[in-house]
Amino acid sequence: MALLEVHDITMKFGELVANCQVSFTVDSQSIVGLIGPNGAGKTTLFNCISGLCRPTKGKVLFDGEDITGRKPYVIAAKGAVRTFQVVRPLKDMTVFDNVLVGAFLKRSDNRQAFEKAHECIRLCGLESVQGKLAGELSIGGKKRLEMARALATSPKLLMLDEVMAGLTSTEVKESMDVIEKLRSTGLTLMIVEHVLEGLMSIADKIVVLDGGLKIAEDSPERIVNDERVIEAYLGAKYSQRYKQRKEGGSVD
Amino acid sequence: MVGKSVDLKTFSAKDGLWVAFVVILAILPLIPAFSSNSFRLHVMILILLYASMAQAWNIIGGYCGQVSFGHSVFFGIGAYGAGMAVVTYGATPWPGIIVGMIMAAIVAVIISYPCFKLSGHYFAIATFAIVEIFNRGFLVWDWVGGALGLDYPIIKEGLVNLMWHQSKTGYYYSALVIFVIIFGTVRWLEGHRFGYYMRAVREGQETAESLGVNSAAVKLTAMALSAAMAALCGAFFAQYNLRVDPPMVMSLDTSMKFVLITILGGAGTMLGPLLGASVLIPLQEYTRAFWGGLGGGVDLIIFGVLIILMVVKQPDGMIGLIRDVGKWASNKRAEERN
Repeated sequence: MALLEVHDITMKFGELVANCQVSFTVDSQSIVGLIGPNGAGKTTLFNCISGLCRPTKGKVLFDGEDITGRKPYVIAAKGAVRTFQVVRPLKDMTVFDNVLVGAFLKRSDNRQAFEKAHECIRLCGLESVQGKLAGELSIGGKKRLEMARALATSPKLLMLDEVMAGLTSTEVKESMDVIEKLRSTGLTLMIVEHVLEGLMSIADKIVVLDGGLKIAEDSPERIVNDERVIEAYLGAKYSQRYKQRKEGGSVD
Repeated sequence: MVGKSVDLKTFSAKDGLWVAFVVILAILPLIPAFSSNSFRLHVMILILLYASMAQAWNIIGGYCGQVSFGHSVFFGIGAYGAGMAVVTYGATPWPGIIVGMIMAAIVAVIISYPCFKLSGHYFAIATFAIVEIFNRGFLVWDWVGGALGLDYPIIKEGLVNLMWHQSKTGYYYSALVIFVIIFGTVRWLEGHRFGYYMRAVREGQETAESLGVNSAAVKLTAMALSAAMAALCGAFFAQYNLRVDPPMVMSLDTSMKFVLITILGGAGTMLGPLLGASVLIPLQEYTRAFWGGLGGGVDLIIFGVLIILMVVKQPDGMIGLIRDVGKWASNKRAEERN
């Protein structure tokens, strides 16, 4: 059953069309990757789903319920929680307190919330810095904090907006491990990413955006061979050469 | 604080520190009972009162990060609540105090609701205007005594009338009770969900909302709570001065005290308001006593300079200074060990 259904989302900023009639579904307990070149409208789509923007047209269904244009905190409380690409730590609070704010969403009792926060901090490997102010973390730490904080809300759907961008390859590996662990707990994930190599190996489905349009929605194996995806990423010229090569023709 | 917030926030050394401080404050007035220096007691009453006022402001201004210059309005409503109960209706001040606190909370919600649509400096500017509106309004409103204000009659002293004529000890302990109520409330908030939510809203409203925090509700609740507490202080102020009029309570002057004491001490910290009041109030009262009428502005000049220095050198206030000194000392000790 689909946990999230996006129907014909169109988002315009004045005359600029950031998303044009994008539709896709995210199945429960799956990992869906959302990719596309810069400016493809990935983050805007995230904003529309998480309630930061109200889509010009279209509908978002979460858990069978229409959440289009609801307030972000309502959507978060329903269980669809996102992280931010441009990290937003609560700077003057400690890392632990940051995560605790998330943990309080589903638990008003201090002890339970503290335990949940501990658990998420451990999961995201932030134990050694949990007493530091969030503003003092490295970029990798801040990205992991984004994830820990969102996780602490016990979401049904976790939407990660480029949590691996700008990380070293070791850090990417660590993040992948965390995501794998999360999947095994039954969480549904939607991941916007530029680091494709990692994403391809764990995603069940990839949705590709280009210029605001959805150009493909398929399994990772098929996506890497999709002509239009290659065209979007590498240009039409390369795409033609690739096609010719595949058909056994000579490349001039 | 930093580095060991891992444990559940139970009774910590820091709490012990301020409990000890309160105990000392409570013991101090026993000394004047022998030496009968009522001026010293007066200074201490004002320290407690202004520390409480600043702490009330600290809820919305420090923890929740919404700088309000409108708190003298709530302070005034509290003062008028008590004053009218006694002067207009000839009752004890207690029902007036309760009504005043509730009214202040209601007024706070009504005026904050549109103002919270503004953010940062614009919110602060809007609250400025509100003080003026209320000040003018109360000056011409006959039911509340207009420009003449309310003068308390001489009635029987004691807790029932919250009024004492012989000595200030009764006032002192009343101020102490208010102090404990307000500081206790803030201490409780600090360790619970609402306290964390307030700070999350201060640090980033959108981030907080993405984590399921209804920021508008948090801000309104914090504002209502803060206003009710300010009204409680206002009621005490009226009882202590035995007089209320608009310039005395609903003025920008009073509003500034709420804000500046907290900022001087350290906004968004538990002990900041107390530190700020402990510096400013003796300064104000002793310069006044020393220079008499001529010294009317000296305390404000010194205070102004202190604020400027503080904002430039250590925006975290006196708490920040203390922390810096602590860090410096522990670094030094570490160096010596090596």
